[in-house]
Amino acid sequence: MAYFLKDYIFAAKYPFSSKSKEIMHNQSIEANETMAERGFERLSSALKGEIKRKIFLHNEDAIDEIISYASARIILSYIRNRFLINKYAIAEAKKTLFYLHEENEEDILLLARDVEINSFLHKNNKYFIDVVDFLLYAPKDVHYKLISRELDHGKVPITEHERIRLISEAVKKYIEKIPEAQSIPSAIKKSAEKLYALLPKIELRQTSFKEGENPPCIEAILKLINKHENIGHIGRWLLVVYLINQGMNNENIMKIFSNTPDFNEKTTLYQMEHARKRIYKMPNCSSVLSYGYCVANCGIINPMKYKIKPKNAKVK
Amino acid sequence: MDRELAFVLKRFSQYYSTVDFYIPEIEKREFGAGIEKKIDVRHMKFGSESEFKSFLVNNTPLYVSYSVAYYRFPKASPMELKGWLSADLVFDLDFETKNKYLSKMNFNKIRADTIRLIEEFLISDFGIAKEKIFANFSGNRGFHVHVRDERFSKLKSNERKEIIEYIKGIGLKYDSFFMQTDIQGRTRGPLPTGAGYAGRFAKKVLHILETEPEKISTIFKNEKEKQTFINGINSANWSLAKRTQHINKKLREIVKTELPLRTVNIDANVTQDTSKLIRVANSIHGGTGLCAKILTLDELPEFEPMHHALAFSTNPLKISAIEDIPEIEIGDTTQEKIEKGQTKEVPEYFAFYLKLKGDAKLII
Repeated sequence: MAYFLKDYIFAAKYPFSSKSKEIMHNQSIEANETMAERGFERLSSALKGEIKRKIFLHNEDAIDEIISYASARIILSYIRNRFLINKYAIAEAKKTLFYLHEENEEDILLLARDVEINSFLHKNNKYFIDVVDFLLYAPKDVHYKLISRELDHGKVPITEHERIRLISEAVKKYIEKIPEAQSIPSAIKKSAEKLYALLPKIELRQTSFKEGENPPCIEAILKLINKHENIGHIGRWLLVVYLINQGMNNENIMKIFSNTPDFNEKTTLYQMEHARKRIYKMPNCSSVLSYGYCVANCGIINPMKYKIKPKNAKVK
Repeated sequence: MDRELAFVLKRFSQYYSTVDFYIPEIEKREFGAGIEKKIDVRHMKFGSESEFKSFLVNNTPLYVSYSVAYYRFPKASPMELKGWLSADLVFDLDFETKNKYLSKMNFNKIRADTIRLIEEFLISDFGIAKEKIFANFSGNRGFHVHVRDERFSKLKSNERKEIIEYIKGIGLKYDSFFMQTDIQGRTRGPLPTGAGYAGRFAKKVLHILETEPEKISTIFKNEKEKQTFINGINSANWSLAKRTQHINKKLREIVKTELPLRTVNIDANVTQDTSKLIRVANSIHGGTGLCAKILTLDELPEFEPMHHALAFSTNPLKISAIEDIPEIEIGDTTQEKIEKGQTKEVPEYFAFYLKLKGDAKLII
């Protein structure tokens, strides 16, 4: 099949797409140092949270971009570091979100199918998605809670922007599935070592709360953080308010949040300052429940009442 | 094992030789069984229904349960080694009560909620086909509803939690039903033909206005006022002029108490925990001697456990009461009160019911 520049550009913007696989099918790629270096660059840029918009003028630029993606996948399959995988998946998902807004209907649906969403419907100027896909790919945000939606015979109405947001979440989940490493070329191993060197600065810092010291809703959020998973905006806010009310200082709160893949120092600092300035109290359990973060029936009215407040919540 | 229990289990065994279970993909399910507890042993596997039946006939337990999940290796332990493939979406509707005997009123409530779960939520809202929904009596005070739809079977705990929260109405906001329009004082609200909670809310309000309008406000005893409000709702006009503070409060209450299935404990853990074991439908509940009967959706509205879930005979059996036993309607008769210490001849199904509830001894 003949491919045009626009196909190459599409494949480069979405290197995980089936079109990218088709284009690369007949290319012979050697796993050399240049390739490994491109993978390393892609991953280290994801670690820094950089989302760069790229312009692809020639087929070769596109191929180069796809190679960097393939190389990054091989490095990840060798390293298998959960933090890095999550961080990388978020970067790719954000990039998709960025590009997808300018695509036509056909390409949006094509990409959706590539990341396993087959249920989008466009009828009477309205967009819909099947409830199962909605549940699978809705971001962790109170706005995307099913209860806030008008559910009709398994279809959830969504806006055009929400459709793209859901695809971007599906991309994240798709990218997170890193295959087992087969035989790893030495150039890749070398790049992986370089990445290891970058990791400790942002790698996991274990929180040292004793088990049972915090209410189950907070424990559940901390557990997600320790698994380097995203906790959503509300989850982040609940934890900040909780920790502040526990008397923890900004530096220690920051250490906990640095475990999340979408950690942003500025945002976290802003949330903390804002919560302190407004003297936010911990919301009652009924609110925590309505945000979808309640996980147990503790028989209390506020998470702060869970048990006697520990004098010093410490972090290693 | 004491003589009484051995006698009961022998009759359980005879029952099991005659019954069918209709367990889909039985070879991928984990089984558990128990006498002392509901589950004494688990991690069991059966290759076929006849193998399972033969186990029940020859090693009869008081309780038998199976996994809602399908596994690659159902016998493997710990759980991580089982190779989870998928799981039915299961709801456990149960009435929380301290009373040993469930009142008819409470049972009717739970049965009505089970029907609402199936018709309003699973079929209407979630679009699940009727033939993919299976219900059975739990064997005690409620029902189990199993959804066997492959679209839902891959969902993990978090997504199942969302479904439960939706059904229980957690986070449901009254104000989200309304929207101010450009015309001053006019509020646009849900139509009775609308979907989900919004449509149900409009339908419910219309129903109350038709049947007991004073429940919302005495204003609506006035036929003209009532009709104007009804006409408004039918054209999505929930004008504020009519929604006084008092009426708003009443409508808010309807949203909170009558729309979600909050009054019953849809045991969230059963739905969320995709490795849970649940009573095998058509098996006998070891705490009541009643059959966890499979019910078609048509049978559900008429189902009375004390009539339709009896698994044993009417042959007389002598019992001695350990506790005071109230008057109980069971089978085709009403069994009179039995005082503690009294001995009496009763039908076998009633004797087993009392024995398994721990209120009587069998005199055999």
